[in-house]
Parts: sequence; C-alpha cells; structure tokens
Amino acid sequence: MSLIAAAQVSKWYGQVIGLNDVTLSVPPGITGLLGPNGAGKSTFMKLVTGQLKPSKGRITVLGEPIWQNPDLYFRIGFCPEQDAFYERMTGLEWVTALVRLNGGGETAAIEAAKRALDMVDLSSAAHKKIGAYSKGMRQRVKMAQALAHEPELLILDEPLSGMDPIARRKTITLIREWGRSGRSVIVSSHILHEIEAMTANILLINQGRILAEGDVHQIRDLIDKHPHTVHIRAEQPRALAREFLASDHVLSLRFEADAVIVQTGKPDLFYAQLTALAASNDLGIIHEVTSPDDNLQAVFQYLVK
Amino acid sequence: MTTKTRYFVVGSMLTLAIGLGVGLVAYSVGFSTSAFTREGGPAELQFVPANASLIAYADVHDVMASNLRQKVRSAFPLKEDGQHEFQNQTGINIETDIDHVLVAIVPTGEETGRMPGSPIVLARGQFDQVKIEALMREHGAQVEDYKGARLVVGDATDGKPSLSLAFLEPGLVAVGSHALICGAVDLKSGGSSIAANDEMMGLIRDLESGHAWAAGRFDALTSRANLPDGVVQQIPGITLFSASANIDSGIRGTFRAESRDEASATSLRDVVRGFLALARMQTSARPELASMLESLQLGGTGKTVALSFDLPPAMLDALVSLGQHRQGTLAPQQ
Amino acid sequence: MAASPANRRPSFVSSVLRIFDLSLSEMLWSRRSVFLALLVGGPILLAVVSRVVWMFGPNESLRINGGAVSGASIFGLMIWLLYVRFIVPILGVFYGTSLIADEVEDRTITYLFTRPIQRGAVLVGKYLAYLACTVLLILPSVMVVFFLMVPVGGGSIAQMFPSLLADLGMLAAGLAAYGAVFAWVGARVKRPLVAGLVFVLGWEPAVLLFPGYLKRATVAYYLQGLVPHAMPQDSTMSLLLQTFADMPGILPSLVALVVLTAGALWFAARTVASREYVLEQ
Repeated sequence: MSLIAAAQVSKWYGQVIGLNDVTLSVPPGITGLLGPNGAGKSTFMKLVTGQLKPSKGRITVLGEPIWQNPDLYFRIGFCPEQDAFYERMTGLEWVTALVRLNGGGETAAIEAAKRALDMVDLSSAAHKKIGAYSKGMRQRVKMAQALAHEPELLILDEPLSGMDPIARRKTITLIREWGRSGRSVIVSSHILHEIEAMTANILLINQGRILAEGDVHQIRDLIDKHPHTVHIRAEQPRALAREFLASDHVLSLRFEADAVIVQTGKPDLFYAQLTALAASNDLGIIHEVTSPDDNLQAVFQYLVK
Repeated sequence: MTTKTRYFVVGSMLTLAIGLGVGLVAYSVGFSTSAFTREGGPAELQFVPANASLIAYADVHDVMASNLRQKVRSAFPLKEDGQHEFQNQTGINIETDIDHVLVAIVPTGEETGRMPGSPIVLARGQFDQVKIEALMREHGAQVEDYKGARLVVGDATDGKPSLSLAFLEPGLVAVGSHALICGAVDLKSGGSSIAANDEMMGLIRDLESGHAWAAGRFDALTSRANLPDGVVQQIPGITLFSASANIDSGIRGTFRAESRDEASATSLRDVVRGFLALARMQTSARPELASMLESLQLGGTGKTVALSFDLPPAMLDALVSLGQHRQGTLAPQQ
Repeated sequence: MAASPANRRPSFVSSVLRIFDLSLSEMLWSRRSVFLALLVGGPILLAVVSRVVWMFGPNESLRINGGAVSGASIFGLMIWLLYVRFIVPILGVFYGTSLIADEVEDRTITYLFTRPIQRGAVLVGKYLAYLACTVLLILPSVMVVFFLMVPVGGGSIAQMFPSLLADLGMLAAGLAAYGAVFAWVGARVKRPLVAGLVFVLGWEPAVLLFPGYLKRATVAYYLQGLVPHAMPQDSTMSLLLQTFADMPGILPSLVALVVLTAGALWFAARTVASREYVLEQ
C-alpha cells in the first residue's frame, strides 16, 4: 500500500498554479521532497496534511482522503515550515496543549510532551517560554509537537532550517531512527545533502510539477532521458561545433570564450563521438570536458532548471 | 490554562461573587442606604413628621439675590407698600431676613378643602421673636408652654383649626396646626422624622441643592386635586414626584416622577414625548417658544421619568420683554 | 517506544474545552488586552471620580447641567452609553472577528487544524475563550461601577440590585451575540474588522433611527429590549431613537439573541470547517 497517493492533483490559488496535474505514489519509509523555493513543496505538504483541498484530482494519505477527515490526524504528525508559536507558553505547556487535542488525559499528555521534548533534546528548556528560544530550539520544539503522539506518518516541512550543525545531525539521526522503527516520514527541503543524509528515496518538484520520483539511481537514469549539457574547453571550439552540428543527437550549441557548450539528447553517443574526435586530434586539442550533471545536486539543479 | 490565567479567573469570579453576595444580602434584608450615603436635605427636616406626604423648600435668600429676581423687579416694579406694612408689623424684611423656607404637608385625617393634609412651615432667618409674638397676641393668640418650648397658639375662628407658632431654635420659626407644632417640638428631642423615611429622603437627596424644590407622594396631590376621572385615568401610575429648580440668571429645573412599575414609566414617557412633539409642532413658527421647548429633555431610568428644562438668560430676557410689551399694549385699556 | 497517549478522538465538547483551555490565556494576555483594559477601566475611573467628587464636593448629589442626578441614574446612563452602545459591540467586533483571523495571521492555525478534532470545535472553543475573557472583565467592572455609583445621592443598592442582575445578564447576552455574529463574519469575510466596524458603528445606529423592520437585522435592537434602564436623551440621535423606539419585549429579545447566537455560531463553524486558509509565507 502506498503511503500517499495523488491522482492528477492540481491546486490553483486564483490564477496562480501551485501544483499542476500531479500523479504519484509515495511508498512507506522515508521520502524526501526536493525543490527550490516556490516549487510547490508547501502546497504539496498542505494538501497532504489536509489544510488545503485539491482543486482537481484526488489525494489519499494512509489509504484515506485527508480533506475534512480529522480522524486521520491520529496517524499523522505535522511539523510546518513557518516559525509560528504561542510565544508566551513554555515549550512543555505548548506541546502538552497540542497533545491534549489528540484526546487522553492531562497526565498522559504531559508525559508524552516530556518524552517528545527529550527526543529533540529540549528537556532542559522545557520550562522556558518559547519566545525566549533560539531559532534552532524553535525548530526542535516544533518537531516535538509533531512526534509527541507517535504518529505512523511524520510530515516535516523544512525541519532542519535554522538548526546548528549538532542539532541538525541529531535531528537527521532521529528521522532515520523513526524510519527504521517501521514508521514513515516525508521530509521537504531545498538542500539536497540534507535529504541525501536521510534517504535515497526522493521526489523532485518544480513549478508545481513532480519532475522525478524514486531513489537516487532512478533519478540518475532519468537524467539521461533529459537533455544533457557538456562543457568543452578546446583549442578550436568552432571547428568542434561544426562537427557536432552534423550529428542528430546534438540539440543545441553555444559558445563561451574558448569553450563550446553542447546540449545532447543521447549522452552516450555524444561522449563516443567526442572521444573519437579527441583521439583523432584533427580539430585541435580538447583541454577539458565537464558536465554539471556529475552529482545529485547537479541533477536537482538540472531538472529544476 | 496558565497559573496567571487561573489567578485572573479566580479573582474575577471572586469580585463577581462578592458583589452579587453583598447585593443579594442588601436586597433580601432591605439594607438601609444610609450605610453608604451621607445624610441629605436641610436640617429643618428633623422637625417634619415621617408621614409627610409633600415637602417643598425654597432658598429665599438666594432667589431674592438672584440676577433673575433683579431683572424681573426692574422690568415689573411692584408697589412696595404691602411689603413695608408687613415689615413694620412683623419686623421681617422678606428680601433679606428669610434664609430659607420649608413647607411640609402632613396627612392628619382631618383634611378639609383641597389640601391633602395639614401644612407646617419652617422658616429660617433673622426674626424679631418679641414683635411677632406681640402681633399674634394682638390678634387673640395665647402663649403656652409645651415641653419647655414657648408656643403661641392662635385663636380658632370660623371652624378653622388654630394656627400655632413656635421658635424651635434661634432663627427657626415653625408655623402650623397645634398638633404639628407640638409634634415638631417632640421631634426635637428625638423620634421618627422624615429623615427616617427612605422613600422621601431618596427623592430629597437628589433635589435638595436646588434653590427651590418639592417632593412628595403623587396620590396625595391627585386625591385632593378634584381632577376629572378621565384625566386621572390617563395619568400612568405615578407614586412619587419631585421637582427642583435652580434660579440665577436663568432657570434650570427638573421634574421627576417615580411610577409604580417600568411599564407605567414607559407609558408616561410616551405621553410626555407625545406632548412635547405636539408642542414642538405648535410652536415651530415661534422661535422664542420653540427654543424654550427645545430645552425640555425627557429622560429617566427604570421607573423614573425625568423632564428637565433650561431657560438661559437670553431666553428669559426675551420672555420678560414680551411681557413688558403685552403690559404696554394693555395699559391704555385699563 | 511507549504507547501512543490517546487513540480515540475526543468528543466535540471535549475538543471545545481543550481549545478553550489553550486559547484563554493566549487571548487574555494578548496585545488586544490592553485595549480591553482601557475599555473596562474607563467606566471604573469615571465612577471613582464621580464618587470622589460626591464625597468631597460641596453638593449632596452629583449635578449635570446644574440639575441634581442620582448615582443610580448615572449608572443607568453608563450602562446605555458606555456598555450597550459602545463597549459590548466594539469588543464583539475586535475579538469576534479575530477568533480565527489571529491564528491565521500568526500562522498558528496549522497546529490546530492538523489535530484529530473538528474544525468547528476550534471555532467554538475559541469563541468560549472570548466569552470568558470578556465576561470575566466586563461583569466585574459593571459590578464595581454599580457599587461606586448607585449610593451616590442616596440611591439604594437593595432597590437597584434586581436591575444590576438584569444588566449583568443583558451584557453577557450582548457579548455572546455580538461575538457569535462577528465570529461568523471573521470566518467568512476577507477584511472582517472593517466589516464589523461598519456594522456596529454604521449600520446598527443608522437602521435603529428609522421605523420599519430593518432594525431586526441588528443585534442592538434585541439587546436594547433587555436593558432595564430607560434610554437616555443624550443627543439628537437618542431623541430620534426614542421617537421611533419600538422595543421588543424581554422574552422575544432573549429568544432572538439566543437564536442569533446559536445560528451565527453554527454558520461560523460550518464556514471554518469548509474553508481553506492559505497562510502568507
């Protein structure tokens, strides 16, 4: 069973499109949602947490529609992106009050809140007012309220933002342990290495569309189906360009000082041709061949371009 | 809920509970208002019996000294022969010797005519006690002693009850029926005076600083007023009334009626409002009267209906000159 | 890991009470409380001044325009002019419209809407917190004003006590009705505060001036039916109000206010349940 299933989901804010005809299936485990600011990550998160209703299509979470289905929130914990709190409350009061909204008694809620604060390493500041917390502490107390009721699915919107390196490492460890304990996490970020540290399973989103979904290797394969850019610094770039233009697999060309930048639809064929040309030495020396697609970060930048 | 909030809630509810508790106790045991208030009214009230149905007061000194009085006097000069004669006989200069006068009507069960009881007049000022006593004795009055007080008892003639006079204190003369004057002497040494009547004192406290005022039970007035039945039935159930006026360059006054219930008060307000509307329509073409009507303000809360008015000096000047004009036009016909 | 703290959704009433508990402190100690304190403190200050003037002044009673006025009458005036016509509607507008709007503006609504409780319970819980917050401030203030003012000039606390009870009930009913109406406005309209102020400062006074049925589309019409004091003649507008006054009886007023409150709350809860709140980033 998929954790989240979206079928042709679109969301408009008036004339502005937030999410465009998205169909996907998120498997159990930890999934990273990658995309630049304004890509539609928050819209997706809000749809998944039932704060927004799809303008079109259908979205289910844990097998049930989420919109106007409060019962499902027993199974979901959500840590929103925004830095918003009841500032006058202490961390413990705030988390307790929110846990109480899940039912149960006061004592059980206090215990759960204390446990959650301990998990995010905030026990020592539990009785301090949230207004006096640092940015990192605020992120952690937000995490605590999301996981205090021990949900099946944890949805974290930019959870590491503002955390110091130690807290960041602890939080990443916490998320990985959460996943290892058989529960699921969806975590959004615009920083790839954060996601890489947590999971290999990612969703790439940009301009309201899911560009790719799967693990890092699948993403890499997907890259090959997209135009591939190669930067060639050479003695005679214009002569090289003339050769490339004769080939079907070259999609576009442009020049930069002593270099030519080629976009190809068939990287394997292109690299073979380039190797042959370099070996023949007929068109001068080829100094350097680079591709911006040489790691996952480049893949992300490439796909969201 | 935070501790601070808990304190607030408890404090707030405690305030409410204490207030409601005190109010409830006051309501159930009829807590005397005097516990919270100062004594009100002129000192002469201590000589008025508790069952007085009507009390009126005038600060003669202030009224005589008022600008209004001076204006009226200069506009309508009176012949002063009568005033001089009164001064010669009694030694009292009405303009200067009387500070204030308090009149009370007390039901005695022997009322005759249209008076709803027997009156007692208490006047404070500078009086020539010997001259006044001599004058009364000239007219057949007898002097008697009552509990150490010197009573001058007038001669009863034509079936009318005798008029008695006593100086209750230096500068305070009481005139009234023999029984009432004796009663006043009794009250001097203690007893239930009108000051113990919460109902009346409540009215008086509101009014007593006016230059002239009256307060009383409305039925005491209407029962002896020989009003047509139709009119009496139209008057909503008024139980008490009071009126006061402040006189200086202008006149400001308030008439206040306490009705039996709020419905009666509403009904009375409607009647008065109707009259005011009618009067305003009728006087729309006469600015001098229209502005006077504009000064009439209807108000009051609960069972109280209040009608206040304010005649500023300019308006009174206009009325005085109107009177002079009329007098001028009538003079040749006389 | 320990077991989940709860696995059964709280009932609607339980959810309401939990939201109430969470919101009361937030509401009570918010910036808006300064405004509330000023509104509540004004009449008390006025009463204290009147009392001091009466106690140490030359007159035995307070005087307005030269005429003696009893403390009870001034108390009645204060109920009308300060509480019924101003404080209660203004508090209703400022607090009622902000029940959800504040959470949206502060972006804390997310925490409440991603919990296993009905959204309607969030609104009702916050509404009850508003009611508690305002009632617990307004009613004691009226009580203090009553005890300060009524004895002035010889008024009887015992005699006026029933009308105090009526005042307290009436003000609580007014806060409930205005709060519910503006909770609905706040849930539905984009600029609820402007709409609310237009309603209480424009629509209500204007409509009440004229004869006809339009006045029934106000809260003030029914609330004024419960005021135990006569309407004061403090201005030309009041004169007009009195001229066209057709006050409903106490029972119809009460019924209307209850229906209005319940209806507005129900609509507000429905609106909140079905509306999407897009938070500013």
